[in-house]
Order: sequence, then C-alpha cells, then structure tokens
Amino acid sequence: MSEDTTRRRFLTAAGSGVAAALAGCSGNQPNQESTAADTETATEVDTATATPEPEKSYTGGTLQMASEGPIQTLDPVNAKGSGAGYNQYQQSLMAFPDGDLPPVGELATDYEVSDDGITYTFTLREDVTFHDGQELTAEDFVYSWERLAGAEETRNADDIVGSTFTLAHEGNTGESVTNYVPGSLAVRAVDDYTFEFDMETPFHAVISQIAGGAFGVIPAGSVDYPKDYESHGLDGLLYEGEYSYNEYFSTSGDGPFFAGTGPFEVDAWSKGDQLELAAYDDYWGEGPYIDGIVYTVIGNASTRFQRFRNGNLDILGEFPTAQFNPQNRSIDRNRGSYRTGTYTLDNGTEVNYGEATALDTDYIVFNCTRTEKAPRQAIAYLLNQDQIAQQVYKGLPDPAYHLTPPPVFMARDGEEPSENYQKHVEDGFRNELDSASDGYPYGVGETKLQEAKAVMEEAGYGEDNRYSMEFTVFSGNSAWDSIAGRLRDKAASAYIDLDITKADFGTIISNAINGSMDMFALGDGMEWPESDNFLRFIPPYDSPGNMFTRWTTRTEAPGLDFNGNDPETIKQDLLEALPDEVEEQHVTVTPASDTDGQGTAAVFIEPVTADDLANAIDEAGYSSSTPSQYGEFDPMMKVSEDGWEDNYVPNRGPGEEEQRARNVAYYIQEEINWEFVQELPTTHTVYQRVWSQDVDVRMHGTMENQTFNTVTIDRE
Amino acid sequence: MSKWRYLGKRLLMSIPVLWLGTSMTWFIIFQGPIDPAANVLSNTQTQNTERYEAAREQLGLNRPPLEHYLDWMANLFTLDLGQTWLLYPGSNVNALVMDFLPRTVWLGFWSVLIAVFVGIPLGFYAGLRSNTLADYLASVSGIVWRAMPNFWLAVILLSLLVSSETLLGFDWDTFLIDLPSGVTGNPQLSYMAGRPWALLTQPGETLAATKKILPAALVLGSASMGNEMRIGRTAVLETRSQKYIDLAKAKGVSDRALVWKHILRNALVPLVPIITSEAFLLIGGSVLVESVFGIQGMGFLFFKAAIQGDLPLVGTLMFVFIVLMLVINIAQDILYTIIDPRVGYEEA
Repeated sequence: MSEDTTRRRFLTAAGSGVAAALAGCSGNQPNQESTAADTETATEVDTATATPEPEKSYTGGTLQMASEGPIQTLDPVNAKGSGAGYNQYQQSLMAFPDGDLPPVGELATDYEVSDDGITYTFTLREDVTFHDGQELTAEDFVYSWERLAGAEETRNADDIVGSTFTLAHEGNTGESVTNYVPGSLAVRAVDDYTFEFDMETPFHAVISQIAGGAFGVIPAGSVDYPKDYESHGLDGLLYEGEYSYNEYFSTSGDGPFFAGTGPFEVDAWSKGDQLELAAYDDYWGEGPYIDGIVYTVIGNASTRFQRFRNGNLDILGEFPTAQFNPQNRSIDRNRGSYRTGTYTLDNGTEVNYGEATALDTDYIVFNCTRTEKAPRQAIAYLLNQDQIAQQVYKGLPDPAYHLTPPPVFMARDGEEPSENYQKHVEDGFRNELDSASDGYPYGVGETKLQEAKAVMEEAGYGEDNRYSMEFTVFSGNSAWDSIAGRLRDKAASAYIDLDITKADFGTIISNAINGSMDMFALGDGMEWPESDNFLRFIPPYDSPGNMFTRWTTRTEAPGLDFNGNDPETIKQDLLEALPDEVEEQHVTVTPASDTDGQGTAAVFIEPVTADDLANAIDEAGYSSSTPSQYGEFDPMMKVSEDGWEDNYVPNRGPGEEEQRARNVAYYIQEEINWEFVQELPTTHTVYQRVWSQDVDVRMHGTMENQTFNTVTIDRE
Repeated sequence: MSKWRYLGKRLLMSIPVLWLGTSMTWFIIFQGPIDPAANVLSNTQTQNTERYEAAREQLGLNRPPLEHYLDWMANLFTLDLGQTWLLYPGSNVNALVMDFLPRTVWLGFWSVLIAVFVGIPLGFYAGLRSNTLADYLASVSGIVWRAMPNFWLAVILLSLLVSSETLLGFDWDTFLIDLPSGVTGNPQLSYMAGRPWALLTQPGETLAATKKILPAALVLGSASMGNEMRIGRTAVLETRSQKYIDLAKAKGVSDRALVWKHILRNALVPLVPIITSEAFLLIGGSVLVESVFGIQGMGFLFFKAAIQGDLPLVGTLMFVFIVLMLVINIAQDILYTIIDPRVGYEEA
C-alpha cells in the first residue's frame, strides 16, 4: 500500500486548555474548516490572554438536563439520534471541542495520513481506562468500528461502508449496506496504541466524520460480534461477548453494564424516564467537577420550558418560539460561531443565553416530474425568506438563499465563508453558470409578485387556467403552518392554488421516496462541515426512485429479449442505434431476476424518448415491451451531472487543490438549484440554549456536541 | 360437565381467538400504509436513502408477505418477542416491558382503588336511600362521571391543576407534598426497585408517587367509578326487596346488621366481575390518559410505537395485550362460577 510514501503528520491537540490554541495545526482540513478554525482560534486565544479563565475545581452538584426524545440506546453504533448524553459517557478518536470546528484529537494524540489520502494512522492516548477499569487499546477501536459496519443492531452502517465515508471492505455495498462481510473492514491495531485504517477512496472529511458519536469506542469483546455469523457464512463469532446485548446496552438483568471512556459513567437507566450519569473518578482528562448528570425524558417542549422556568432544569437546549421574546434577550458577546448574553424570563429570573449557527437548512422540496418549472419559479419569487425569518421565527435564523449554510460556504484560504455567501447571493460572486451572474434570481428579502405572474403567464397560465399543487408540511409544526399559509395566499394571486396537507415526519419521508407529493417541507443537517452533505442530492440520479426531487429522466424498456446475447453486447448494439451524443455510461442493460434471457434496457439523463428507444431497439434487431419515459430531459441535467462527475468525484480527497475543484461543483449545483428550484431554501437554523446562573457552562458551537467535564455548579 | 372440562374447553376456544387477533394485527400493521423504514432517517441526512434501503432489508420488508407472516407468527408463539425497531433500537421487548409496566400498574392500582372505594360506597348509599334527594344527587353525578370522556376530563383536570394557584387558590405542585417535577410526568417508583417493601418503609416516597399519579388515576377510574355506583345502587335496591330481607326484618334483626350482613354482602356478587373487567379499561384507557399526563407507561409506549411506526414493537405489544385479554377473560369466567354457582357451566 502506501507504506513507503512520505506521510504528513498532524498534531491533534487534546485536552481543553491547549486544544483551541493548536487547532489550526490540522492543516489538512478543507479550507472552510481552516477558516472556521482560524477565526475560532483567534477568539479563543483572545479570551485566554485577555480574561484568563479562573482555575476550575470540584464544585459537586448534579446537573439537571432534559431529554427531548426517549433515550433510545447506549450502543455507540446507534448513538446518532439516540437521545441524550452520549457525549458525556463515550468518546471517539476525534471530537469537536465544545461543539466547535474543527475537530481535535480526543482519544488520539496525533495522526498521519498517507500521501494518497488512503491510510490513516492514529496514535492513541496511553492513560485512558474504560469505566469498567480496562485499559483502552487499539483493538477496542477495531472491534467498535467493526460493529458499526456489521453488527446486527447497527443503523448507521452507511456511515462507514456507505457511499460517502467508506473504509475499504468486502461486500457489495453499492446496492445495500446490509451485505457487508464481517471482519473485512480495513482497520488494524498495529500495536496497543497505534490504530490504522484504509479508505476505499480518499475523503476530505475523514476526521470530522470519525468525531461523530457512532464512532465511539467500547471495550473489545463486550458483546458477541457478529451475532448472526451463520447468515454471513462464518464458522463462529469473531468476538465472544462478555455480556448479552441487552445486559450491556439495555436494562436486562442487572444491566446496563455499558463502559465508555467519557468523564461520566452510566449509573442507572430507566427507559422512558431518566438516565443517571455519575462522575468517573479515573477520567483521563480535565474534570469532571460535578457529581453527576440526570437526563429526564420530557417529550413536550412547553413542559420542558416550564420546568426550566421553575428552576428544575439547569440547561435547556432550545427555546420554544412561542415563548421567545427577542426584547428580553441581550447579547453581550459575539464569538463568531456563537453569541452569548442573558435573557430575562417572564417571571423576572435572569438566565444565561446563547445562540449558535447550526449547519442546518430548512427547505421546500419540489417533485420535478409532478410540478412544472414555471410554478416552481413563481413560488420562489413569492417566497420571502427574510419575512419568514423575521415574522415566523422572530428574527432568529438567517434567511436561506443557498442550501449550504453560511459558516461552511465555499471559500478559499483566508476568506470568510459567510461573506462569500452574501456576495454570491447579491451579485453572483464566482458564478459558474450565466443564469447566476446577477446573484439570487428571485429577489432577496422581497416578494416579487409581478415576476411570479409573468413567469406563469409565459407558461400559459392565467386567471382562467390556474395551476394547482399540493403542499405537504409537518403536522404539529406551527412554523411550517404559517409559512405554508403565507405562501398559499400569495400564490393565489399568481394563478397557483396551493392545497396544504399535513403529515408526520415518517409519512413525508416515505412519500418522498415514493415520489407521491408535489411539494413538501424538509430540513437537513450536516454530518461534516461541507456542502456535499446536501448538494450530492442535486445532480440527476440514474434512476428516479429514491430521488426526492425526481429531477432526472429515465427511459426504460422492460421485457427486452436478449436473443441469446450477453448484456454488454446488447448495450453496444443499442449505442450504435442511439444518437451519437448518448454517453455510454447512460445506457444499461440488466438481466431480469426471474426470467432467463430477458431483461431491461434503460437510458437515463439523455434526450431519448420512449419512441426513440423503441426505434433503437428495433434497429439493433431486438424486441421488447413498450418503453416508457419517466421525467423530461433538460440539457442542464447534463451540466449538473458533468459538473459533479468532473469536479467533485475525482477530487474527494483532502487538500486545498481538491477543495477548490469541489467548490466549482458546489457552485454549479447551487446555481442549478436556483434555476430549476428543485429545493427552495427557507432558513438556516440557529441553536438556542438557556442555562441557570448557578451553572458555569460555555455555549456550544456549530456542531452542538459538548462534553460537560468542565462544567461547574454553584447553587445558592 | 366438570369444572376442568369447562376450563379445558375455554382454553381451547381461546386458541382461534389468539390466532385471529394476531393475524389481524400482522395484516393491519405490516400490510397497511405505514412505512416503518422511513422513520429511520432522522432529522439529519433526510435524503440519504442508503439507510432507508438497509432498514427495509433489516426489517424484512422486502421479503414475500407470506414468508414474513409465518416467521412473525412463529416468533411470537415461541415467545421470542423480538426487538424494538425505532424507539429503543436493539432493546428486547421483555426488558422494555419491565421498565414501562410498573408505571402502568401503579396507575391502574390507584384508578381501581378510587373507583372501588368511591363508586361502590356511593352506590350503596344511594341504593339504601332510594328516591331521596341524596340518591338523585349521587345518581346524577354518577352518570355525569360516566359520561365524561377520558381524554376530555384529562385535559380539563390538567389545565385546572397547572393553573391551580389562580383558579383554586393553592398551588397543587407544593400542596401538602412538594412535587418539583410538576403535574405531569412519571411517578418516581425506582426506590422500590428490587425491594417492594420500600412501599411501606419509605412513606415519603410512596406519598409523592401517589400524589403524582392521583389526577391520572382519577380520570382513568372515573368511568368505572360511575359504573360501579350505578350497578351498586341497583344491586342494593334489588337485594332490599328480596323476601329473605323481609323475613330478617320480621325476625327483628337490627337495621345495622340487616344492611351490613344481608344486603351489602349479597349486593357485592354482581359487582365482582365488573371490577375484574376494569382491567380492559386499564389497557385501552391508559393509552390516552398516559399520553395526556406524560406518564411513560405501557399505553404511552404503545402510542409512541404506533405514531412513529415502530411496527415490530406495536405488533408485539398487541400480542401481549391480546394474551392478557384472553387470560383475564378466562379468569373472569372461572371467578364468576366460583362466586355464583348458579351461573354454572351446565348447558341450559
């Protein structure tokens, strides 16, 4: 492999004191991250010199926290979305200190990347013990990551063997991640404190990705792996478990026996009620300075707020919009990615207040085969993002004109991403497509009714020929209700009848996958700080299935008789018969699973109609059932696809040069999305947090994940 | 027919009911419109359908329905209750039930107790003083209690207690026993974990847990309270007009002995099956009441599982409920024959 090549070595400064100061050293970061790092570093250093933090010491006390959802599991492989507290009891190689970018070493002291961006070698801390007393070694990571890819319980296998961050492994994951071959992951324990892994392909956000909760470590051999070894054709377990799954991660018997490396250990867990964490005395890092944390499950937002108001919760990681009054808030410090100050509750109590820009975007998705381009553009003209931010969300979030949130917008070294965001919106700064040369085409902070009417009239609509669409929003979400209501009223005067329906999250996702809605509300969050999180869903897919926007075209001829030929020959024959400009990779011939000698021919993202395909099949000397076409071709589909294939796909590795190439792909997708309005962004979310004056905690940064090891409590 | 043959027959008859109920459950939840795999996509990475496809595979949704059905039924009937899918991924249902059941049992215990100790005495009182003002008052209030739907009563009571300081003049949260967590939420029962005698040795905790559950128990017990009142009243009226009462009166039995020894004891007979049948109410009614009061019991678990499309959990809980219903039904039938031999198992 790449063992002989020179390696680049990076410090992954760990420990809260030096972390921020050295954060800039991880120079292999994409430039957004470095930029974020620079500003962050600067502010942090400022505080360190100007107002030195007082030396913290043990204060005791139990932190009272609320958990919004049920606390689902302690299993790291399902930590994502599992509910409260996993940052407190489990850890990974890297972490976002206080939720700030970029990630720094947590259980790793430093790491090396081979020049080809394939092999990563991490040196582990040597003073770490798990809550059960075992020492942390590299083997524990091998085991934990294997489980993430192949455990029967894992829901996040796509995080490690999926299509973005992919470790080298066996098993055909192109179709499904469930056929991963256990034990085949390219993870190695070189020695006790050296952990190494190989990527399938280089990926720019490796160290951000592995800072995620799913990559947390538990002692090797805690539970059986893989439990269903027979179905994988293995003779036995790769790891014999010390405990049964439910004893270890759930509450069977005397469980949970879970052991992580975090500053707090799991003391007791009562499902649907509370998770109690206790300070871990042998924690390797700073703190903890308090005795424990209790997460109480409170499903209702106003109940949570009520309890905080009554002083029964110390930290509340949200603020119900209905109760929020911007006038009671005073921000006295702005640290770039987050702002802090105070807030006066309606009962006169003054509490600490913080805001941080999230890497989330809310948007409206249009199904482009069910809706026409003109009404989509008309809706974009009518939607006033500033008004939504001001009136629906009380001025908290940023109005969104891109899918990419401002803190991680495309920027080069030394540039401020959010400035580039504004410049691209206002005058098309660095535009790739002509259509975006004047910036956002549908009006910034205004409703353009005349333009909306004009675009509809041009498409042949008018007072006598109205267009109707169904708009599906989340049930029980008053903000989306209000957005939909405003839009419906405006759309009525632009010849569009919006019919608003409501559905819960699962139904919306399910219908989006089935493609049975016209337009619907959605939001998305970033797992690593770069645009590809969202923009990879813009270029047309080979097949419309699973593509929420359905902005693609595919012409398919089922029941194709192979005449005894193999699929590759038929494909070449068809390419002969099809027009010359049809690209080879846009034609497939797949054998049917049930009938021998038959199959399906398909042409996608090409101007080939059902008749064209029928003629081509005929001309090539084959026969098939009548072809059908899904979606309509637009030449810009090729521009979008090529932009992605040429600039993004070959440049997925780390480094400034590849970053610039990827940025081109991102600009193209953002601008394509402007023109065709597949996804219409509304706002970029802002995190809010209020906490009691008794508690000394920092406002978390953009990535939200925060460990409370340095929190102190001083109750009056 | 002997008692044992009757029991055997009763058990045999419950098998088709069990099969039918379980099959219908499977059909409704797995062949219905809900797509459990869609809920796997969390609020981040909503468009990442890789995970969705993997979930369909793991859930067996891509398998032929008949195969899936047979597998599902076989698992249930061998008591392999399986794992939850969404709510608590990986946890097996047995462990889950052990966590959630105590709260429901605590709620059920108090709601039955309230119903029995308020409804029956009131009914007897009304029956003994039939057609007086007190009777009318008791009867009418009994009907009103009966008529108020659980969900409505729950919401009204909740809003009353939350703003008790302005509406009632005292603060419910701090009234007698301090409840820092407010009106809604779980009763704290963990102090009894593994040592049930703590119920008596730690009266402070018991009182707090009781106060916490009381509003919900009152709502859940309200309907059966009214029921028991009305049936108690009728039973007393009926017994009072029996000939043996007249005889006892003629023999000079004192009023007190007449009421306590002859009337009340006999009037209790028709009430016993009514009380056992309240177990049904606890299963059905607790879904609503628990969600309103934020008590995370079995009903709440079921509700959440249904709302979020955790179909394996819904299915398993349904199976547990069906088995529970059947067992209670059989127990009730047997109890009935013991209490009142005239009802018997002889065919008419």
